Amino acid sequence: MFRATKLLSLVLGVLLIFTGCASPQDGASQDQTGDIQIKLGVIEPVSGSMAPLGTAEYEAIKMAIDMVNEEGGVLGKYKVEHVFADSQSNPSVGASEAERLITTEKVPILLGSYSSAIAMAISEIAERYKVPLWEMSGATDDLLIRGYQWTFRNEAMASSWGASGVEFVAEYAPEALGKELKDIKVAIVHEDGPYGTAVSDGNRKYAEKFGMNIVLDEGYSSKTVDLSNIIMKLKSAEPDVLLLTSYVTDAILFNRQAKELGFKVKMLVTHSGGHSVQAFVDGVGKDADYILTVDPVPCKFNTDALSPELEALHEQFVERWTEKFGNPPYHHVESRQFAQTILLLKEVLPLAIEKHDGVTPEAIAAAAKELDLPDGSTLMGYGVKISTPEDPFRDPWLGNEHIGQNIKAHAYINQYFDGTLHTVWPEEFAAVEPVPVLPPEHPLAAQ
Amino acid sequence: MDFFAQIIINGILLGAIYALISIGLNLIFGVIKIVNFAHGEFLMIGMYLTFLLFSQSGIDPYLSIPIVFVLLFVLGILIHKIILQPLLGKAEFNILLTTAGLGIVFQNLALMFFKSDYRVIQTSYSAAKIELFGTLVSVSRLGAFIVAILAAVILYFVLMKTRIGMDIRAVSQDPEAAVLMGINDKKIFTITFGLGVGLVGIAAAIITPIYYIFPTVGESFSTISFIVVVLGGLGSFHGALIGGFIIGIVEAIGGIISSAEWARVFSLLIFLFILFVRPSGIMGKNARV
Repeated sequence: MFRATKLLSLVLGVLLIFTGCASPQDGASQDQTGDIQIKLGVIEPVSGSMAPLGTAEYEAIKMAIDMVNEEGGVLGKYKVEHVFADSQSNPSVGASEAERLITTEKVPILLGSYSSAIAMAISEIAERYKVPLWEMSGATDDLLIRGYQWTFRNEAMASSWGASGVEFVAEYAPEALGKELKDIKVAIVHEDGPYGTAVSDGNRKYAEKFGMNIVLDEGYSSKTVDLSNIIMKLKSAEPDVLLLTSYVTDAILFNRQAKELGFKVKMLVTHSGGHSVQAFVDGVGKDADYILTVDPVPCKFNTDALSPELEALHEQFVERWTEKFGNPPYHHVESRQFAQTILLLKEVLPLAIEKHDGVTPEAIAAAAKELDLPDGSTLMGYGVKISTPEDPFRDPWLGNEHIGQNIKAHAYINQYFDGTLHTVWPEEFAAVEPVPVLPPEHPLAAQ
Repeated sequence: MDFFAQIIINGILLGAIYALISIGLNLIFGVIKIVNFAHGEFLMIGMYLTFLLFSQSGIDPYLSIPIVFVLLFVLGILIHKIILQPLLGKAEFNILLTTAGLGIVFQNLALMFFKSDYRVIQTSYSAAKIELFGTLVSVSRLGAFIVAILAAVILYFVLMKTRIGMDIRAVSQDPEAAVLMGINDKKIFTITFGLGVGLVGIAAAIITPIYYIFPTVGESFSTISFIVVVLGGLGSFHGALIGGFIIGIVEAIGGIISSAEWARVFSLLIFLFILFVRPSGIMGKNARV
């Protein structure tokens, strides 16, 4: 009995070590001279099913903070520290950790949070405590259409990705396929979480707007280990264009099962998520080539529009990341978090300090709302102007009112060439011309 | 007609994977009465081993089946001897918590050693297909099907025809009487646990060319294997096979007649229905309260 208890306590002890949530930074002691202290609350999933990309996001956020600190900090003099919490891939853990960061650690702002579902949960806490949530990857529309005033998003919302995908099809398909818009058969297939659903809403609305013929419109769970039934339906529907929204594993599975079951299509437009990450290329090899993917982040784009300082900063980040991890940062995960953390540290916080005397939640929120940056002045390419409760943004695809949304944000379309993504749309950011129709050498290409 | 035949084939091939993953879980429950919550993580470990053998030494996943089986067999024996055996016969709840805890430990160890990246192996047959009676059959899935059937047949013979198999069955059916007859039940438990974990290793090796590997990949399969095992009848050898194929075919058809989102709902409905009619599962012996 004694031995069993001892063993069990050993196991439990090990468990506690491994699952132990957030370890607060034993950060530098603060001087009490009334200097401004900047303490960010960061919430990312670094354990559980979302850990793969959540960990990478956190590393990028840390690197942005380190790089700013090495220049002396915000405005060159205020060091930034952060407190980290692990949401464990679980929205309710994310919410309780957000509450802890706000009430115990007294952070004036939260950064996060990888998934739309977690962002939704955290945003409710942010709203209740009136602390800004600087959301850097949760793309669902629902996040900002509930009238909440403390959540801010720099990126384009998910439904606009879906709309952009269809806009691209409308622009290129008639000529490439030799068909009128109304004769173009479109299939919409999406994972059925908040992200895939929001993207498909944009797909559907715009496909209807352009009068395309929707022959299949279906969701599936991204956790599934079998997509044969959806591929069988696609085979009988025979679409010209497939608008696909997936996470990583289902994107790889779709490619494999589509090949196994002999599904063919002329245009394949995917929407970020799984199709935009290196794991997809590793998983499908050469099959990635020519796949189009709508993405909130540009990739190998025409950087002429960026300021020289930004270009230099980005190069510095790429170099540093490559040195630390042995591979260049991936645009969809790391570069994206880096860009938005930098935006917060170099534009929002300085404005809060200079104009609103500090880094209180109110000052940061006020600064975020006042920010007005032209295109080319952020690492994301587009400018920044955040919609406010007084002047909400009504989106043209679903007609919802968004508060806290960067209205200058838009999606990009990237395409794989030799395993690397290149921005092909919109034209002013395009580095190369798009190849809209899958060429015959692609295994999914219809003849 | 071809369309329907194709769907049934898809379901059978999927069912074989479910069945093979579930056999080991079922064996462990049937004999030792342990609900092994770390089952999915043993699968994950087997997949990483297959991946390592392939990427480091170029060993094809099919050739690595015996290696992964033996390694996991040994791992199972060690885990059982060191961690689980001392808890046997004490509060059942402790074992439940311990296997669940082991699962978390394994996940985090995988995260430490392999990082969170998704790993995929590309074999020449990864997405290859052959035509069979007007239907398309994936080579790697057909291979998984054949291995699943072979593994089941071999296990069946081991259980029915060998001395150790008879001992295992004896302990499973009546532990006390078996001990009185001179069977060392501790040894049998240990071997059974090793065998159950080794079987998951076989499943891991053959699904590695079909799927992808990441530290929490086990979760995708563990839920379904619990459903399969309970549906077939906890502890029933044939039950796990039948359960696997039923779930595979129901999901394939269910996803066609309604939407893919509902495929799992159909299999869960069948699951509930069968439990309602036969509380101990299709092949379960004793109705349990």
